[in-house]
Amino acid sequence: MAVVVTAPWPWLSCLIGLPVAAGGVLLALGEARARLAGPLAVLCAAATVLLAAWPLAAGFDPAAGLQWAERRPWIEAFGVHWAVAVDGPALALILLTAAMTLVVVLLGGTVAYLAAFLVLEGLLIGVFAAQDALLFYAFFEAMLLPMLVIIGVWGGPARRRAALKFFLYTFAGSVLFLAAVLYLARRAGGFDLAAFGAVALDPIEQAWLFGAFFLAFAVKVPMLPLHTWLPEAHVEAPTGGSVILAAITLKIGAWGFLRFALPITPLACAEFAVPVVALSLAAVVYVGLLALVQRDLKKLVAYSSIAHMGFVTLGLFLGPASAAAGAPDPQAALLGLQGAFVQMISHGLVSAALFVGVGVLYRRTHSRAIDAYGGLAARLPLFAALFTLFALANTAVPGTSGFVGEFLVLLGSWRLVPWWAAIAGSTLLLSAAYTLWMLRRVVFGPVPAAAAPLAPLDRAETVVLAALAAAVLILGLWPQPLLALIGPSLSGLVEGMSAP
Amino acid sequence: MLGWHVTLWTAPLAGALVAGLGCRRLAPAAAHGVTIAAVGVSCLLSWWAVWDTWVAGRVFHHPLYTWAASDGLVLRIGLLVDRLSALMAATVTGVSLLVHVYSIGYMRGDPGYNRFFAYIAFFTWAMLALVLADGLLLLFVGWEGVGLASYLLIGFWFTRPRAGAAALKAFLLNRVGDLGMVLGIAVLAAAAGALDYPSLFAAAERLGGTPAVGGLSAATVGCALFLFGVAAKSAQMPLHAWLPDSMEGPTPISALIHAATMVTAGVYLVARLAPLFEQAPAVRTALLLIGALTALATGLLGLVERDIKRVIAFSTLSQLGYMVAALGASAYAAAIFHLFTHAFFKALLFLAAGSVILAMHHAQDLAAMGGLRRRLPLTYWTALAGVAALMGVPGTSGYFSKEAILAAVGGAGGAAGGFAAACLQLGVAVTALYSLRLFLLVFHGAPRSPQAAAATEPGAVVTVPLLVLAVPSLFVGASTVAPIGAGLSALWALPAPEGMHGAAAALRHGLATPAPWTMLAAAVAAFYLWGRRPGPAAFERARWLAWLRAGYGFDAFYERLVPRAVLACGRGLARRLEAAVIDETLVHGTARLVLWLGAGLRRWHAGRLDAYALGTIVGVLLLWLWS
Repeated sequence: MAVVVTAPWPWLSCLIGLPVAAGGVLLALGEARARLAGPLAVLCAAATVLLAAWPLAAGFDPAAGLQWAERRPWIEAFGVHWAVAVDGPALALILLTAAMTLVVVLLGGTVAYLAAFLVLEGLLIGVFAAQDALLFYAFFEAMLLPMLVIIGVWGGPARRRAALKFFLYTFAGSVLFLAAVLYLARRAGGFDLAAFGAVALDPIEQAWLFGAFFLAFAVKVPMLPLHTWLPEAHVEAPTGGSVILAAITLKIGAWGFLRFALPITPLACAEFAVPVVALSLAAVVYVGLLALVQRDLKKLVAYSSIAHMGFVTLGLFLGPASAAAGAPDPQAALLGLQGAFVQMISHGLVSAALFVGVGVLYRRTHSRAIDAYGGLAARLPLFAALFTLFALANTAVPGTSGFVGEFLVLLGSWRLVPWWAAIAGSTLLLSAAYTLWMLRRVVFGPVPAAAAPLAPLDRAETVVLAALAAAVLILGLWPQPLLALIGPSLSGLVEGMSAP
Repeated sequence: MLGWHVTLWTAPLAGALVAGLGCRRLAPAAAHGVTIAAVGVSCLLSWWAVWDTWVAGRVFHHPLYTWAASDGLVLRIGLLVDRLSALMAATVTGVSLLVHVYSIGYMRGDPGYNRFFAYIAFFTWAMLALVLADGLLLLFVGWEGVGLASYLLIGFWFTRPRAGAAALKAFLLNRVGDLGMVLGIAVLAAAAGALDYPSLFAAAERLGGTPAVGGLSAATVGCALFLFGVAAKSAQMPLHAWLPDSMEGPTPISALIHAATMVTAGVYLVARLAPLFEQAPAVRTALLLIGALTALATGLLGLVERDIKRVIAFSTLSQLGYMVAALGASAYAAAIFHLFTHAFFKALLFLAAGSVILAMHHAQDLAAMGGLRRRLPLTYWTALAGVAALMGVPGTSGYFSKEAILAAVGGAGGAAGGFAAACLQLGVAVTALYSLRLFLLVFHGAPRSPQAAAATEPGAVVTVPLLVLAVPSLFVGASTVAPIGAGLSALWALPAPEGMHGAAAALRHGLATPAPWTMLAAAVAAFYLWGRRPGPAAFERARWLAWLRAGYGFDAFYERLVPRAVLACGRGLARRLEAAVIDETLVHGTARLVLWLGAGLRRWHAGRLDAYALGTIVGVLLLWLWS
């Protein structure tokens, strides 16, 4: 079964190509022409957002599976194709990628910095669109390079060490992933992802392949105990780096589970579901406790990210866990997948907004220490209001996007094992404790005696934070449009997993 | 009606958005004008809805939109306007409107004036969502929404460290309840496949009859989990400790949120879900015990408290205990009736306290007051009406609702019923004691401070709401006891509780019970203790009452023990596990292992021919042995 070409015009190739080309043009312009390059970058990022939304206007049908497919030979000697297509979930993540890149570009930076993010955007879209395993691998690896540059060049004082740790961690995982892809390609007779899903694998093969997938993607999510690169990378990364890292690249881990582990190795997923669930629950509780004692704002948000991603992996593995218990529960599986996916999008918005917020503060005071702040509600009222909203979304207050995913995952986990829901539900307390305690020390409280006046939000910061706030609220008040976009594909995945 | 009911619900949100988004540009008059207009619209429409549901006997169910759909579970947002929700909506918007008007005077000149009005209008919207919801989903949105408003308003004066601490404590203790709520919702979603009330009630018997978790029925498990929510939101022991601290917020908030409306949400939840709680007798017994114990134990705390607002807060805790106990006795109508009358007289008492606090230039210590009767005559007389209703002086609104509860709990039977009835009877005496103590210390005797001697009564925006609230505090009970008893009970197809068959019958019945007489005895004792010599009584500072002044140790537990233990746990994990084991041993250990292996292997690759030859020979030998 090969990818069938259905795109009326090479929309995805353009979508991948546009930001990469724009990045190249920016580099060619150079720092000397920054006054031209800055607006050009914004223009290109905005154009990419519009282009990414094109299918929605052109009658995208979520129930029709993969669409806008393109397929042309790439490395003919090995049977590798430039095969790209999107379904609902992929389109949702591509939109998120385009939007977050626009956020980063709007906040500005040097020309090379902006160029790096535009190139990264193209590669990330490629990851979500690729339908050829080797093409996926190529994007998956290639995107590390701009990220490495972003952290290593524009990062903080210990950026080299953080960048190296980031690179080694993710690279180690992906080498095993490549081995798994090569093995599958030999069995399937090609690199088409659809063909991978059709290969009949015995449980031992599945276990080995799952192991490789798990290492590659668990590092990215990141799951316990492979998470220690993340706080370090976030602390050293520039604001834009943190935004893309938290909002998009963590999602690639979950995306890998969704596209590779769950459909290709369903038996092994069931086999290992309970340990994965245990690690996810541990992430929620253990990392939540760690977040509570952080003194660095960025570290706190980073640990909070890991805890929230625990809900994603928990949701993804509810279906396999029910299969492992011998009582497949498609309702729990779908609730888990829907919840996990909404959580991915919501976490993308909320963590990005929190990192932008920390960046706003750092720009003004050059400090990330929680103790260095206080009374921002009096000093930066608009910022304080928006930051409070994002903090509330981070603690899953209903009406914000943060509630939706966690709620659906909790509904699903209760169906399987009530204790799982109870343990995962402790996030209601823990996330509230670490987020609102931080809020109390940073936003509320007396103004420190030696505090210098802070410049009010500039126009770009206001636009970015207000737009993120609107997105968080809309998704929280009415998540059904997103669920309708992703639902059919996820239902299909549930059916595929429960089929023998 | 759809449009009108949606307007009724969302008008305050519109007001909040205008006042909130324009908070830095709007003139104060514009901010309070727009929110008062919005809440006024809501109030009018609520009373229309009361007419529709109580007089015309109609019920409206408006599904609005699909929030989320999954396999076999469709979650919708919608409104349900029936007698219960309309009565609640009218109470909420009525008190809210008065508190809005009162705040014009109370908050005048505050730098956060506009923000304050945005918050209380937002609160009104969230409370209406909770009340008018057609299912548990929107109810929970409102549930956390009012919690959020409470958090923001307790911490309203955000530069005060104590306000920040109180806000955080309130939010976190409420989150314990919210966790129970979410899990309870998950139970019902899994067992019934729906969260809207009509579907849940239709399935109530099945939910009560079939085992779901650990041999218990879904109704029992779900309701037991909701108990956490009830205890947290309606400040029942042991999750009550946030409510006294919530008095750090501005006084109008204490009246609206922490007395009349939000804290009654737990009571409303149980009444709303009465068909499910009827299927969970064990949970009702727990409600009975928790409510009765809270009613008595928190009332006692009011006897030694020196802060005027905290005394009233303890009184709120105690009265909520009465309502919860009534729920436990299946007297849902009596609980809602007490909720209804309590909203008026407790809002009145808080607003009167606010008037006193304004007159005292924000001093709140009872020891510094005294003799305000002559300085604040309107406040004095209206507060007297409130105190009479709170004590349950026969004929006042509070009498009828408390009498209904005492009669219902007295008839509950069983050991739990007997214990609860005894607690509530004792509670009547305690209520009279602390209410009169408060009243006498504030208004009678000679002024005990210069502020008290020079106090002047605030203006009409403050005193008119007091007068308006005094009327229902005294009279609404007698006129509504019979219709509310019959009309609400009909919702659940239950008989009207004993004591709610009419004002005359209730008076006759009540006077034949010990309650009015214990109250009278307690009132005499109160005059003896606090009326003869002005100032706090000596026993209040007695050493043997230290445990009472410490609030039974709950504050120490929640403010010191729990945070210290959790933070120590977090620090320990961060140092011992995260840094030492995971990062150092696992991650850097792996890196070192690779380096060490590399260094070791390098020795074999030093270009020495003899070593290579030896390796080859050993390898061949090994292969040969292997095969």
